[in-house]
Amino acid sequence: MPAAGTVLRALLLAALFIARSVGNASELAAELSDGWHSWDVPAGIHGKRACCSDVRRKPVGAELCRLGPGAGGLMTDEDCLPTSDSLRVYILVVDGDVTDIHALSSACPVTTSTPVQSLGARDSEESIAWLDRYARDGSKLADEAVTSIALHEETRAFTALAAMVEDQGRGMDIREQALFWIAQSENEAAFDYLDRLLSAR
Amino acid sequence: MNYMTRLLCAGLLLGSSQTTHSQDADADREALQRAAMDALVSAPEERALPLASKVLAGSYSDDMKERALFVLSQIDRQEARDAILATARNGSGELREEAVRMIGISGDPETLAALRGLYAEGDDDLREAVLEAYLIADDPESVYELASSATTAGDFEDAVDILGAMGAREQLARLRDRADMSEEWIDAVAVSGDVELLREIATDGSNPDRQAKAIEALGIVGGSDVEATLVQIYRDAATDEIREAALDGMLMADHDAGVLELYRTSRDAAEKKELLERLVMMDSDAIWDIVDQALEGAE
Repeated sequence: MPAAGTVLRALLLAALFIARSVGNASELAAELSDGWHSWDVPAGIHGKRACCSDVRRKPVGAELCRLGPGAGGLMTDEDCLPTSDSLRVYILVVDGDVTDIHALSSACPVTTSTPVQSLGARDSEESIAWLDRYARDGSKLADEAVTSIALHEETRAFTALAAMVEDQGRGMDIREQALFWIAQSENEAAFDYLDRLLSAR
Repeated sequence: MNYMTRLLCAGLLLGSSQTTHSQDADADREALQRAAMDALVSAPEERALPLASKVLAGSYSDDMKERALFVLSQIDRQEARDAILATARNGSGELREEAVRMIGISGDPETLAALRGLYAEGDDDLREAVLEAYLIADDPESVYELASSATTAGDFEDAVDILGAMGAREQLARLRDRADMSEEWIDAVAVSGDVELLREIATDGSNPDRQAKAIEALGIVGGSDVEATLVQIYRDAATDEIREAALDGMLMADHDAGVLELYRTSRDAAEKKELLERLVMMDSDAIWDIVDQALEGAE
């Protein structure tokens, strides 16, 4: 059994991490007025090639991914020709509410009904913490939030996804979706996590 | 309530709450484990293979092992095929049959060929699973091999049923010399939609019973081409049995126009009566034409 001091230190560190994440997420949220917004973060392996199916295997500029209401369901494909080391998170805010979330390779050409306000490059943790607030229930927005988190750089994405799986306060469909993305990860820690989960009795 | 009783009650309540909590935790873990197995289907092979193999070899529920079998069936590696085949050979009960079906899903020719040995030594359930695997893998030649070497009518019937469902006309035609094994063969030819073969059997004069069965089967297949054939078979019939079968075929094909045509051209009162009875059985509107004509004649 760990010593009480060790447990206390772990709890303090966790509290600090949570406080920092919430702080970052709030900072980002404060900048979101109505309309489209985007920010860039380092992309994971799947995020580097994430684009919509329409653009799959076509050169950049040949076609555009349409985002937003009336554009139909956007099928994200992780095997597209446009690649980038950076992932772009797109958010649509309507009447103060977030109504659409997408994450695509920064090289993926997109079109929206109104111009996208760029919030520039952001820290992965800040971006994940912001998205994590929407990954709670089985709604389409929650699905998009989980997918967007999964496309972030591997290690940080895995940490967030594993926390989702362990969080019994979230809907099982969201936890299952998080597991799906953990299984797609090429991160060694993700494999170990699945191994432990399957070995648990 | 004295102190001891209250302590006991509190202990019981705490115990019950801990049991419920533990059951919830177990259910939660099991749900996540199932989801993890399902997620492995689209995971990189080098990740999915060791995990699915571990579950298949470990002390997990059959449900988990079936999921592991499915994951392995999607992995194009020899180790995955070997693990499934080992379960098909040595697994127990339904898991064994599921492994056989998964071999069908994987579609690997070498592993599919290994199923023939299992078929030979397996019980009815396993044999059925092997046939299903060949059906899933769309491998009519293997089913043909089993049908052609069947030693009992039951085994022959099971195999030709599958060939019929697969629409395997060529293989069914090759089994013609074994048709004496069971009438089921003709049903299978009908299910496969091979009208030409049915027409051949119906008119070859080799075996009246088989001819009659083929004529009825033509009725099941139906279609304008078949309808004309049934009328012609009736006209050319050398025996009452063949004539009767042609009428049954027209009944099944709902070809009342053909029966009416025969009625109108017949000069035999007994035959006309039988054909009229058939039209009544078919609930045909042609009856009213005949009644109208009869009344006009009476007038």
